[in-house]
Amino acid sequence: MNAGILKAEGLCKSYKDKEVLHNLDLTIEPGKIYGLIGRNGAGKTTLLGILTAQNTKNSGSVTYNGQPVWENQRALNDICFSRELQATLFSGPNNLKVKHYLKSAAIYYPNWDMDYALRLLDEFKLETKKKISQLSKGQMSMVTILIALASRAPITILDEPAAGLDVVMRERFYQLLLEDFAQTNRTFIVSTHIIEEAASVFERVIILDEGRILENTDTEELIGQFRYVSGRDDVVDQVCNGLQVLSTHQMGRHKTVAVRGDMAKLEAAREADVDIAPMNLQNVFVSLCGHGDAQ
Amino acid sequence: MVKSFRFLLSYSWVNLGAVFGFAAIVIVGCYITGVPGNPNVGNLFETYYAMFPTMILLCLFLYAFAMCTNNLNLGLSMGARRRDFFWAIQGNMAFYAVVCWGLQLFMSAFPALANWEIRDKWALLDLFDGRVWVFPLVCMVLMVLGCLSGLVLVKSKILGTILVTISIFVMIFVSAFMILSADTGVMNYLVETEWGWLWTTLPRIMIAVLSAGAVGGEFLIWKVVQRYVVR
Repeated sequence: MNAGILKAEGLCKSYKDKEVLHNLDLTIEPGKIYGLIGRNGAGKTTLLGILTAQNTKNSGSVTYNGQPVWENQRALNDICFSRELQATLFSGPNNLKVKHYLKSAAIYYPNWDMDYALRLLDEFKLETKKKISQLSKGQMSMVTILIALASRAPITILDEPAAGLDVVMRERFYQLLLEDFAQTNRTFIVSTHIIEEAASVFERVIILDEGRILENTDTEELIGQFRYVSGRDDVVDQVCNGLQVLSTHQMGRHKTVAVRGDMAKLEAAREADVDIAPMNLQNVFVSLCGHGDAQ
Repeated sequence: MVKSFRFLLSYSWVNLGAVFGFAAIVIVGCYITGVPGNPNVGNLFETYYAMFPTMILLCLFLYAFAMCTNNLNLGLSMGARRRDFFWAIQGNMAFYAVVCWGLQLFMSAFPALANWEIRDKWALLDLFDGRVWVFPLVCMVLMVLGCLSGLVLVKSKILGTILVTISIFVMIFVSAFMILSADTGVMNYLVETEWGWLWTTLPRIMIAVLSAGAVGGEFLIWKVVQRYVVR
């Protein structure tokens, strides 16, 4: 599947006086699975909406293979943004039925795979005649996943696909995603709050914080830059001198700090009387975006 | 644009089916309850038959409302271009207007065709008989208003509710005015007063106002669709 490069440059977006995205640059390369993570209100859905021309921007540009995405049918044909469905729409219940979503997707997505959609429908035990407002949160996520996967769009974006799904279904979703990726090599962007579970699926991770991109890098590479250092506070301070300290947690004289950078120095510090432990993606995210809230 | 038109058309068939079904129920109901040829029978079916054009307009208002809320949102979320969707809305509204115009003409002609005698007690069925193109114009205006009401409601719940309420009140007021004027013959009295010129030129004034309203409404719909944020 030939996906192109999706690129945002200098994106700014505000709602009334509140600036949601600040001069944001982002490049989505083809054939990769991206994880988009950020705290509530960080601007994830707004960013995805602007990337797919479903939301407006104040300034900046979004291009796909060098051509603007806005009102460009060729670009829009290659992009599927499967949104998190809501039980209420425009202050009333969402009375659209599952079959309406399927019919619409069949009309709009040029590569729509109806056989696959029906197989997933069967597997997820979804009833096409049911209204969205009658579905559970997990079932709504299944519709989101079904549309995204069956769209076969070269760039497929899922907004909170795991919300409300039980652990078995979440595992099944990651499995389906990887199977599809292995088969089609299309680009996926998955926005999620369930970070640790999804971390192994993400080839690259984009961390969005307060409307700014903090990281857009290889997941393993990013995690490799972070360590927890713990021990007696004066020893920890000595070891961490010159390193970027992201968060500190102290109990009595025992101190734990999250640090970033200079792995050589950290390896050398193993000689000192401190424990050095790796961090997982969720810890990295909390260290970068926690702003002290998690301590 | 073809995709968006096809998308909207999939809903139009169902919606028009409901209007045709309603027409069939009214006709069959009138027949079963002995309305034709019996001036003493006055029932719900007779009332709905006599009011059929206003029922069509009310349905079209609601269909256009849905077209510019749920359908617009769904279409754009699946990658429709805004300008395509706007023109698909126009095509769909024209389709609705033409089909409903045909249905209205059929309903007004049916009693004569079937040799029925049904009282057109509020003179609504043949209201557009003199200027047959007025009915599709009214249909278009109502749909523009319905679409606009939906778009405003999406942007502001309060403003949208006010607009929908006003629209419904205007429709009820106009229907009631037409019914009352037909029942009481007040128009015959009014044309003889010094304001008589106003009443005789009222249809032309209304057509001009409706046409201007439709054009202005379309401009607003274009503007709002261009800035629409998918939810």
